[in-house]
Amino acid sequence: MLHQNPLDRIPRLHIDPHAKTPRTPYPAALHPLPLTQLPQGFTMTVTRIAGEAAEPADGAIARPRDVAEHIADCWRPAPTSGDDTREISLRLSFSRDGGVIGAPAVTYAKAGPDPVDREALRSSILAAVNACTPLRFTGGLGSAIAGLPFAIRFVALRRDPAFSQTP
Amino acid sequence: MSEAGNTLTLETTQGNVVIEMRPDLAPGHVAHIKKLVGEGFYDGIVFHRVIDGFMAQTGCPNGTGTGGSKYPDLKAEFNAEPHVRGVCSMARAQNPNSANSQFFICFGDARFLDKQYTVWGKVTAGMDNVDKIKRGEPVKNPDKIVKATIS
Repeated sequence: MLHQNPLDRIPRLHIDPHAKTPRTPYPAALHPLPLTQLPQGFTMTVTRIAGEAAEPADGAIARPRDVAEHIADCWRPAPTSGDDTREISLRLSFSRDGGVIGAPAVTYAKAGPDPVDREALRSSILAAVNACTPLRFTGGLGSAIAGLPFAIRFVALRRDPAFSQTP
Repeated sequence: MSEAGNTLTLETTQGNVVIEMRPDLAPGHVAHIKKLVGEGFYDGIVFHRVIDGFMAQTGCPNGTGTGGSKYPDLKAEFNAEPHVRGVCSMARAQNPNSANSQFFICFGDARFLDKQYTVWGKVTAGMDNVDKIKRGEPVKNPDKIVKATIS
């Protein structure tokens, strides 16, 4: 046919409504999908209150979302001269065994006008990645996400001065 | 009789309050408080939030409930010790791991706080002085810790 719709050439995904596999876009290893349906990576945001300590959870990471949470728990953004929210975005990928492939790329950083603050923010997130990798993945997750890019936006909210400590 | 080094005496504007600290319940918190007392951190700090029948809160360097020490926040050490009269427990913000230097002394039963706030000690003498601390939220002309010492 001369005027075939190009979309018709893309293989359709046939979903069995009675299938017991979870209908999620990941992890591919747990839910095999046709090649055209492979996820192209993960985009996520994690938020922490600046200055509040957190400890990374024990145990193997089983969900892509927990990759971001785990790194955020290792993150200790340095105090800045300003009180504003700080943000930094990282792009990185992991090997099957939880190591970082290559060097993580900082794609965005917001830390006020002072270049010293921006550099401190950049160092803090790279230090967090260094400190908490290799991540411990479950076998399924490691196979599913190996090599796929993660774009993670980390947000450090300032502690609200009106938010008092109480019993 | 408490073990040596675990008795905290608060000399307040209403008289002395003796607290037996419980490192068996909250080792991290007790060590942190000892460090702060050693640095004179609590000297001169006011009881900024005192609610009759509930508790007297202190330990904020700003006197507002928003401050803490220069050290990082503490990891929660929630324990089963009940919040009853005389019990000393740590104040915190919403995050369970956000206690730092502020603490409170219970005037009466406050069992709804159990396992949600870290109990680290109990008043063994001078509870009558705690009862005299000026009430308010915030307190006008608040009472304060003149000097805190460990023995």
